[in-house]
Amino acid sequence: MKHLSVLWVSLALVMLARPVAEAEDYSLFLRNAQNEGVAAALVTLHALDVQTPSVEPQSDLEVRQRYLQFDPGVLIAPVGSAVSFPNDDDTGHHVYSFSSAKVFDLRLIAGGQSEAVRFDQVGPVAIGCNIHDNMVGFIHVVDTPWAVMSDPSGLVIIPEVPDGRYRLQIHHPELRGRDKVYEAQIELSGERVVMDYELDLRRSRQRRSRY
Amino acid sequence: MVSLKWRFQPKLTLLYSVLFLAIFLPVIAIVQAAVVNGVTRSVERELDASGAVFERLLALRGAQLEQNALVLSGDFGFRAAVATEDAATIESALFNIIDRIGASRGFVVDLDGRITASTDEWTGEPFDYFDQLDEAFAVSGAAVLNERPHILVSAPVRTPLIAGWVVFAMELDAAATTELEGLSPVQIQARIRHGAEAEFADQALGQIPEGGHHPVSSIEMDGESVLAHFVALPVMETSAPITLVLAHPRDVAFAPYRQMFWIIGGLGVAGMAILAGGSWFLSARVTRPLAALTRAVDRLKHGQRTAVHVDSHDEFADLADGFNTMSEDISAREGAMTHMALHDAETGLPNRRGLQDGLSSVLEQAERKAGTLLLGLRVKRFANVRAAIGYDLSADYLNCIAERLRRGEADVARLSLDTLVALVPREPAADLTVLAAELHRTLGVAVALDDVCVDVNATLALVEIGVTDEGADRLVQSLELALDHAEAEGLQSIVHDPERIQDPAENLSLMSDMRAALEAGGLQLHYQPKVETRSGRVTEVEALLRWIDPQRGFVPPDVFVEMAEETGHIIALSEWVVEQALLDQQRWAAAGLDLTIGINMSGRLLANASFTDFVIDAVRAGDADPGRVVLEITETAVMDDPATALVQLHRLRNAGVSLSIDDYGTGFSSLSYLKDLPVDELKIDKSFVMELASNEQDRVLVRSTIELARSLGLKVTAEGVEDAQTLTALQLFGCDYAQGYYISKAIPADTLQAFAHSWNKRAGSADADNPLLEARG
Repeated sequence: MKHLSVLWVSLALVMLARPVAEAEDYSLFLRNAQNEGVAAALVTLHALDVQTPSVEPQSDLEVRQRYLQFDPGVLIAPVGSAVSFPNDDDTGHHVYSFSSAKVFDLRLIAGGQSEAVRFDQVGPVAIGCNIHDNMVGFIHVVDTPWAVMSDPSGLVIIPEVPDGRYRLQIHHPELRGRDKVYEAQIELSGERVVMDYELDLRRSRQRRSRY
Repeated sequence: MVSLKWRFQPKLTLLYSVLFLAIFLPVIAIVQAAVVNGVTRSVERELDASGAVFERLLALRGAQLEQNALVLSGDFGFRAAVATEDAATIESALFNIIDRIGASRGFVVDLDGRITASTDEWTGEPFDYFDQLDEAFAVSGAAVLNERPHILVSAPVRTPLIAGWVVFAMELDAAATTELEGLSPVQIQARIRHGAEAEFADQALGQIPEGGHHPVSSIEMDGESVLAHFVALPVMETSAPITLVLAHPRDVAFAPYRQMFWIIGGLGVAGMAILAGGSWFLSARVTRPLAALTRAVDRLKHGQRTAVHVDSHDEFADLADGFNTMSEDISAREGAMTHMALHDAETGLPNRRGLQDGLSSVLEQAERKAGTLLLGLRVKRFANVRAAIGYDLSADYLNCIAERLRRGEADVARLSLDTLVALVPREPAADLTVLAAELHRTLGVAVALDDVCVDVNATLALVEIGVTDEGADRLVQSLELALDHAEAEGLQSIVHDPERIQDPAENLSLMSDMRAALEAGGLQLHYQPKVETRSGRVTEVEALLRWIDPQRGFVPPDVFVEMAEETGHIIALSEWVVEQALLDQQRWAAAGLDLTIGINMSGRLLANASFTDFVIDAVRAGDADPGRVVLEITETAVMDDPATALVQLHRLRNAGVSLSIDDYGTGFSSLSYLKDLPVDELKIDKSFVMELASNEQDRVLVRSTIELARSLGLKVTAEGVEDAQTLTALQLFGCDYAQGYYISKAIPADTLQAFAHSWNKRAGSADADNPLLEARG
C-alpha cells in the first residue's frame, strides 16, 4: 500500500490581514495529482489539547432517492442522528450499507415510502442500492462541529476554528488505502494560511476488458 | 573401328539426354514451386481462418466468463460475504460458479492486491495483474497465470464502493485447443505456447506483434514436419506473450499432389529412357553402316575384294552402293592390270613375267618339276614375217604355233617378240636331242592363216628342269642362251648344255675383274713394231692390250674390249692405255730410242669430248712431239656419227696428234669421207696383205690403194706382213710402213727395246737397197 504524501506547497498564498480573534476559519485546498480540485471530500478536525465541542443529534436529516440517485450524495450527520430515506422514485430501492459504522439493509423501499435509520457510531457509511449499482452515497457520522465537505473546486472552509493542535482527517472514497482516510496533526496559531493538500487518489477507473 | 561407336553413339545419346533434362528439370522445378506455393497459400488461408475462429472462440468464452463474473459480483449475498470477508462463503460461491460456467479457477482480490479467497490454495498470495485491476474498473484478457496460459476475466465487487475484484480464469489447455481443432474444416493441430516458449516458437520469425499474423512457415512440431501459422493472442499488459500455433502436416497438405509428382517423375524417367534408348538406337543406325564402310575401306586398302551390305534405303545405302561399285571397278581394273602385266597384249599369251610365275609354281612342285621340259621356239626373221603379213595375222600366226605347243596341256608363253616358250611334259626315257629334232619337225609345219600359208622357220631349244637348283629366271635365261647359241651355230634345234654354252652373266664378273686388274697392274701393253720400208728401221710401234688373268688365263682383247665398250669401262681402259703408252715412249726416248706409238682408239670414244680433252692434255704434258702419238680409228666408227666424230678428230689433229685409219678396206669405205677426215695415215687391213704374194687381185687392190693414199698425201701402213715376198712387193708399191709376224709379233715394252736395237743395227749394216730381205735372209 502506497503511502500518502502531503505537500506543503506554499505557506502564504494569500495573507489575510485580519485582527486576531478567538476563533477563525480554517481553509484547505484539496487537489489531486493532476492539480484538479477534489470535490466531495470530508474534512474533520478534532482538538487534541481541549475537549472537542460536542454536536447535537439531528432528527430531520434525510437522504432522498430521486432519479436513481441519492440526494444528497454526501450527508454529514452528527452522531446519534436519525436519517430518513424517502423514496421519490417510482421504482423500489434496496438501500444498504456494509460499513462498519452502521450496517443496515432497507429492502425494497417502495416509491413514496420512507424509512429512518439512526446512526450511533462515528465513521463513514457508504450506502448503496442493491438494485441500482450506480447509486452510491455517503453519510459521514461525525462527533465534531468542524466537519466540512469540499466544494467542486476543492476548497474547504472550516469556520470558527480556534488556535490549537488538531487531528486533521480527510475522507474520500477514492483515497488509496483500506480506510480511505487521510490523517494529519496540525497546529493552528496566529495567521491562517490556506493549506494545500494533494490527495493520492485512484484515477477514475475505466473498464478494460477484452471481452 | 569399333571405337567409332564409342565416340559418336554415346555423344549423341548424352547430348539428347542433357537437352531433355535441360527442358524437363526446369518444368518440374516450376511445377513444384507452383504447387508448393499454392498449397502453402491455401494452407495459410485455412490456418488464418482457423486462427480467426480461435480468437473469436476465445472472445466468446471470455465474454461468457465475464458475464458470469459480473453476475456473481452483483449478487447481494456475495457482496455481503466480501464486505464481511467471509472467505468460506466466497469460495463456495466461486466453486459453484466455475463448475457452472466451465472456468478453471476463480478468486477474489482485495484492494491491496492480495488474494482473499480462491478455488486454489492461493489465499494470501499477491495477484500478478493487480496493478492493472487497480487502475481499472475491470480487466480481462489472456494472461499467463501460475505459469499456465489462461483467459482472465474480472469484475469489481462493490459494497457499494469497490471492495475488491472477483477473477475467473480459464486455462488454455489441450481441451481448449482440441475444441478448436474440431471446428476447423481441415486437419489442423493447435498448440498454445506462452512465455519463453512462445517467443521461442520460431526464433527466425522473431517476436510476433500482438494480433499480427505471420506467414506460414515450415517447422518441426512433435517430430512431424508441418506448415505452421502463428497467432499472437491479445494478452494483458504485463503478461508474457501467448502464441497460438496452428499447424497443418505437410504430408497431408501435399498428399493430393504426391501422386501427381510421382506421375510426372515417372513420365520424366520413362521419357528419359525412351529418348536415350531412341537416340542410342538411331545413332547405332548411323554408326553401324559407317563402321561397316570403314571396315570395308580398310579391307580394300589391304587389297582385299570387299562389299558392304546396308539394309536401309537412305544415304548410307547410296554410299554403300557407290562404295561397292567403286570396289568392283577397282578390282576389275586391278585384274585387267594384272592380266596386262602378266600377258602379252598382242597374242594374249602369258608374257615373260607370266611365264616366270608359272614356272615358279612348277618348280615348287617336285613331281611336276622332274617331269617337265622348258621348250623355246624362236621364229627366224619374225620382224620380216610380221612386216609381210601384218600385225593381226602375225599375232594369229604366233597363236597357231602356241596352239601346237599347247597340245599336251603345256603352258605357253611369249617370251619376246619372236620367241615362244612352253612347259612340255617329258617322257623319262626319251633322248632329248632326238626329242628336240622331232619337236622341231612337228612344229615346223607351215601355218595356214586365212588364205595365206606361212612357213614356220624357227630355232628350237630344250632346257631340262630340275637338273640344278636354278630358279625360273636362270632357266629362262639358259633357254635364251641356248637359242642364241643355236642361231649363232646355225642349228635347228638344241638341248641346253651348261658346259658348252657360256653364260654371259660371267661377263659382268669379267669386267669387275678387269677393273681390278687395271688397278693392280694385271693388264699390260705389248707393242708390235712397224718398219719403215725405205730405211728398214723400226720407227713406229702399235700398242696392243694383253691381259692374262690368274683364273681365266689369256683373255682375248676383242672379248674384253668389246665388253668394256658395252659396259662403259672403255673410257677408263683407254685412258690407262694412253698413259701407259706415253710412259713407255718416254722410257724408250730416255734410252735413245724414239718411237712413234700407234694407239687403237675405240669407236665409242670418237664422240666423247672429255676423252679428247684427256688425250690432248696427256700428250701436251709429255716432252715428246704430239705427232709421235698416232690414234688409230676405224672407218666404220667414224661412219656412225660423222659430224661429231669429225669435230673431235679435228680438235686432236689441231693439237698435233696424228690420226690413222685402221683396218682400211674392211668397211664400206667412202672415199668422200676419206677426203674429209683429218688423217695422216692409212693402215691396209691384213686380209688384203696376207696373201699378197700369191693373189693377183690383192696386189691390184693394195697397189691402187697405196697410190690413192699417197696421192692424197697420206702415209700407208700394210698390216699382216708374213713373208719376205710380201715385204718386197710393198716396198715396190711404195708402201711406207710394214707390220706383221714376219717382222715381229707384239712384244712387251722391255723386250721391244732390245729388239729394236738389234733390228736397226742389222738394218744399218745391210744392203741399203733391201735391208729387210737381207736381214731375214
